[in-house]
Amino acid sequence: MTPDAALSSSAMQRALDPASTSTLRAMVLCAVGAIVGLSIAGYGLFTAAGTSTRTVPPESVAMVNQRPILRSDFIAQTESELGKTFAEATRDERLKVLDEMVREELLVQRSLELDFAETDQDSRNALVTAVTQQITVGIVTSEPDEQQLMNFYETHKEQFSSEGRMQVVDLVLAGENMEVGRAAANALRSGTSVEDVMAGFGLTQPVRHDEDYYFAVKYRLGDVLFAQVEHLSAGAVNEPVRLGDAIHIVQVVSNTRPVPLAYPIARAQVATDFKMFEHERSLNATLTFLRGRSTILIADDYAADYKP
Amino acid sequence: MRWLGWIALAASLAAAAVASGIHEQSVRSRLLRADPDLVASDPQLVAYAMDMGALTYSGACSGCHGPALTGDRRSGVPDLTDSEWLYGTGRLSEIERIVLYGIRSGYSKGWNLASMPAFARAKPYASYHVDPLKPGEVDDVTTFVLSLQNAASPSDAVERGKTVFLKNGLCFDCHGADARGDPAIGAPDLTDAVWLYGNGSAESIHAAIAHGMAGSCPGNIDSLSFAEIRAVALYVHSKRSGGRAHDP
Repeated sequence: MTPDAALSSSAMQRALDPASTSTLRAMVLCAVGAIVGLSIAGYGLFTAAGTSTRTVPPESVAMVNQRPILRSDFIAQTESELGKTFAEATRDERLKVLDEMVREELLVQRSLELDFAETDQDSRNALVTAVTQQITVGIVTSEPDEQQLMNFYETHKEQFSSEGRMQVVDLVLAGENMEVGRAAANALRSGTSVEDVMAGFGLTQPVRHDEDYYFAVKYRLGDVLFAQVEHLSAGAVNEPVRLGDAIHIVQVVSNTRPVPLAYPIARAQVATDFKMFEHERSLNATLTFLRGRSTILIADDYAADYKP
Repeated sequence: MRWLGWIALAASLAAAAVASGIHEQSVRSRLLRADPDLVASDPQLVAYAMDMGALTYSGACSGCHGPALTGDRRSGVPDLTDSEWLYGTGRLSEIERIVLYGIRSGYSKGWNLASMPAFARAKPYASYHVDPLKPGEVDDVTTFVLSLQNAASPSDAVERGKTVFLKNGLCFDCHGADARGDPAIGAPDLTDAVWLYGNGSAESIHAAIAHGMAGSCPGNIDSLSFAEIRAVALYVHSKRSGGRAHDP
């Protein structure tokens, strides 16, 4: 027997030996385990979000300092710039847009290095707007369920009504003679035409208006005068009111008062108002949270009066 | 040595799983790298994406658009199965963009160019100055919009409404002088029979003009994977009126 043959025979005997088999199995299983473990670790390492990589993920068209430029953004930018579909864009046109986006990303990253959020007012405004929107994104875009809307409708019923409409004739008497004003108002009440009253008592009507919503009539007449006429019916005349250097006499031509709307009719408005309400609540809750975790120091000369 | 057989079997299964994973990864990459408007013409990609799209739709979209994609006109949620597209023209890339960034969603890359003003309010529009309309003008514009539907004979109210539509109401600015809308800003066509809110009655048109509206759709860039986003876009694209998965 040659030395090689003897060695081979010896190895065969060791392999067939139950004790040796156990050792070999252990070694093989250990190796398999190591390979599997390393494979899983490697896969995890090279595919985890944020991992530095030299490849471009399939959803991106480029990576700039590990920041992706999404294909979707690239397509939208290309179509927006070129005014045609992405499929119609030539390769040169696409490459030009891609380079512009790379340049934009480089400049944005530079702006972060320069901390423009601290020094540039436009950047600060944009950040405030973006964060405010982000805070309330869930509320703005989610659909409240029917029960939530009905509860909101029940607890805020007064704000869901049709718009009040009104047409008025606002007559003005120059000076302060309230007796003349009262006589003119009585004449109107007794059915004398507006034209005759104006001619007879020296009144003027600076502007004629058609029927308008309550808010517009209120804006024109002012709070005091509007409060006087808001509840008057068509044909009624207010008690003359002195405002500034003139007396105002208002005759109501028509008045359609706001009518509470039933839930099915008001539903769209209820949904809008509910979201606005929740929007404010969410924003305030976030600000309370941010204040709670922040250290805010107010200078002595303002500290006593400062209230969030 | 029977254990060697088990190891060989396990290795074969592992190799098959790895091969399957690599293949899946390859198709997924191809799905994401493809021009979205051409994806629908690739049967292998469509087959890969449709199940994922249906599942994603069920989880992320059906809450508002409904399981049958038919929307809800009470809330202004559009029907995705008709031929009318409020934003864009129904191309897959446009649908994908909405799934990604939404509409009035808080993402600045989402659609948010204009909203319907509330013309019966003191400040009809938050973003820039728009004058409110008078009650009679709201009535007249309602009559004018109704006339677009019913081809009603001209009347004074229709003419007055048309004047408001084309002048001080600024309606033409979004809906166009011909009232056919503008999909670039999400302004609906007022001449067809498709209504986003209500049923096209005088009451619902009047309410839209008086109270305004601004529907929204969430962006999903932070909640769905890019493959899911493309798959759900493909799924929705395939369900549109007259649409098939393989149509561009």
